[in-house]
Amino acid sequence: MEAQTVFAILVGAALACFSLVMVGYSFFRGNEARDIEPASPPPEDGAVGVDAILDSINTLELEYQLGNVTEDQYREQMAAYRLQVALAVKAELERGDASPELLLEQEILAARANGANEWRSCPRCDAPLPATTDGDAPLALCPHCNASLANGESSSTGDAASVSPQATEQ
Amino acid sequence: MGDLGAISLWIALALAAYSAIGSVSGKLRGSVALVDSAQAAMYATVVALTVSTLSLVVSFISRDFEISYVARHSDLAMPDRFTWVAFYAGNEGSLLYIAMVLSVMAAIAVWRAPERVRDALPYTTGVLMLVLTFFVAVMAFMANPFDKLPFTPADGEGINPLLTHFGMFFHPPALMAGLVGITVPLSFALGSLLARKTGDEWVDPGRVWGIITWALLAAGLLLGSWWAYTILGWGGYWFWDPVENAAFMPWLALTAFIHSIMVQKRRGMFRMWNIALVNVAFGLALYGMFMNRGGSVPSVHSFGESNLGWIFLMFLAVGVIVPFVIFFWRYHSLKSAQNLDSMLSREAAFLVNNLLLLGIAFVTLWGTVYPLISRLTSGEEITVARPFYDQVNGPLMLALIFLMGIGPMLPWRRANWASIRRALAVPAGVAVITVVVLLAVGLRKEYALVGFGLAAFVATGILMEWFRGARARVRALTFGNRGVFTWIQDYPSAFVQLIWANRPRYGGYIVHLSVLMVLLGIVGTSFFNSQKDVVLSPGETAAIENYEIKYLGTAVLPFGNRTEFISSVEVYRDGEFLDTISPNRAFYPNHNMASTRAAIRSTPVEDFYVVPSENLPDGDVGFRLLVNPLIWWMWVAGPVMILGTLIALWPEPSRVAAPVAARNRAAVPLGR
Repeated sequence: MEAQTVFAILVGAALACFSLVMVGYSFFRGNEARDIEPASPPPEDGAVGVDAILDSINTLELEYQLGNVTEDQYREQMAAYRLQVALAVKAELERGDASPELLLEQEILAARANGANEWRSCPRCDAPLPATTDGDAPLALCPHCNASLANGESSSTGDAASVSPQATEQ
Repeated sequence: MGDLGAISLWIALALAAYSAIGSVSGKLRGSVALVDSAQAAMYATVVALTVSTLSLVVSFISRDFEISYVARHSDLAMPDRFTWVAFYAGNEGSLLYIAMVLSVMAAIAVWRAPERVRDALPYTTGVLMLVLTFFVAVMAFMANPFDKLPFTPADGEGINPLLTHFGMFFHPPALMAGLVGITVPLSFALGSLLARKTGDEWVDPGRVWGIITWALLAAGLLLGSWWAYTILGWGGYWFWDPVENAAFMPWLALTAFIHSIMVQKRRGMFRMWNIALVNVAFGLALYGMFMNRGGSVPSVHSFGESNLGWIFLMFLAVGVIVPFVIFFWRYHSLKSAQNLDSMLSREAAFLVNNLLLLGIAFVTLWGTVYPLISRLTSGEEITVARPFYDQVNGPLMLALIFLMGIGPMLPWRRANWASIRRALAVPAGVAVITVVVLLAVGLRKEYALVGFGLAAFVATGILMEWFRGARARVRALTFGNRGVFTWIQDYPSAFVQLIWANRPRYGGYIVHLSVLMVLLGIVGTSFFNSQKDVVLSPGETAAIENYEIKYLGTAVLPFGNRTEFISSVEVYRDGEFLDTISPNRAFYPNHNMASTRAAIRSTPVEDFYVVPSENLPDGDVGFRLLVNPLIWWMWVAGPVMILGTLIALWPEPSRVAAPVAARNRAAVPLGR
């Protein structure tokens, strides 16, 4: 046999062995890490993802800066997008595939909601306010910025303008 | 090396077929191991096809004329740099190239597929590998590039002279990669449908691969036009040749697709449209491959000796019918998440864009198949030529350019007339001024006036938006407190930040600018070019417009595989000497074929083009002289378009899925 033919057979055999190893490896390695689990519930039929809505919000802000949309259109569309993103975030949280940022935000909001008496914040500077107990008189001023807290409006759910999952559930 | 190439080709065939069947059956049977194994087979296919490709390249370099394909497409005189071109110069090698490219694209697409399409990925892999199996099987059984001759000839037939051009290093590979690359977005779409994922999961990979293949096709078309302009010797760049059309039509469908899919990404709309568009693009791509390999119309772009027409015709039928059957199977699930709020919105503009682009594609398809239809129905072949395309497609293309000016100015959801008037007032004003000025200087051709007016309209709209965006950024950063130095210091960086912060949008605008450059070239050469054919003896002169040439003489240079006739020509403009140019013509006796190289003096205003059309025995030369206004812009459009595409495709930071969520999900959830 010619040397070239021997070379071709040897390399071809090596390629065939490599292919068999590649193909067969999955059957022998075990699948502990990849057990078949039920697929996560699919997104609500027809829903648009959070990323897409956030992109749309960015675009709307750009269009507004460029003067392509009027103030009224901007407000109307921004409100619609906020509602959409809130619903999408809620759906993500229910499915359990939200981003780490969203999960962190969720935990903070939950902590604030659960411990509203111990963990309130100033509506102006957002600094945490000292804990109060039942029967104590509410604080009149924020100890950090001296903002008036006379009407007891200290925030426990963050900026009213921001969108949170809780807001959408109300 | 031929034996190794053949062995690896058969291994690739086995792997691709196994991957196609294994991934789908693994998904249906709920076997993770089988799905993983099929995916591994897909990666191994890349290795096998790489070995096969390298074997053919080495066979060319070593001039192994025992291999029939090498003997037919190279000879001892061929410079080594043309090995790459010779590799895909014929049917067999081009099929190997296509298979190689598809395997690499498939591997990257599956490897980089986003988490949200994991459910559908086995089906996606199945579709990709099924298409790959077809190409490898055609090679293995019908057009094997490693088939041997019964004897080893002393020399080969040589490479086709028309292919010995710089453009050939990129034009055919880009077009072939673009045509076969459409399989990738199609596979994501069909994979999602088969997995009952009828939402927007496939949109991101579909859009990215749609843009990549669109850019490859666009680059291939432009390079092909440049090649035709410089080597074919007739001074034009587009002939509405059936094979040119076959590459142009899927590009049109993809253009509609990459715009339309933005609406689905943003608004969850046009789901049916997008599936239909990618199906149409794939069908047209298969039609293009059929035309190249045994279609009924001969062309300088096709593989003349091919006998693969019937198998590609069958694949075309399957490739059109099956995706549409899957589409109609899931038709009722493809409802949009939103409704069209207003006809005065960007979504509506995209809808009209789809209709116009498909209109142009189907007019082109009709013109391409009409000779065949007329032959079948009346027995007489009626050829459709350029006037048909100009008259029907011309107005549609101008409408498309007009839409290109208005669409980006419209906001999503709903616009009002006041904001539209404000956005369009300046561009419309500049367009009117442009037309008036052109009329004042004596231009009277209606289509040209409309073309230049629209170019001014669209370009002004884009530039104004960039200016307003940069100004808004500067104001936001400096609170409007900066003086005249703002222009120098802040605007350039604000502009760059603006582009970078909105890459898909402004990358697209840059591509729009490149389209305007192409428009300038088309209008300039269609309405204002001049042409003259002359026969000159040494020392004689000829004039065209304000140019004059003086023919000095011709040097005859014999080479191993050709004889070159290099003419020396002095060029004058308005009586002033500009340059001495050397158009040449070569005769290849093995192919009984002549190849020309035009000498071109190119400026942004116009090209002066001289090509020797005939060398007479007495030393006289027949020259074709052309003045082609604005064509320079068409060739500059290519790099601009690629820049815009890269900016649009540059990845954006995305939200990272939570590890806890990832743990809760199966990596490849199985079962239907």
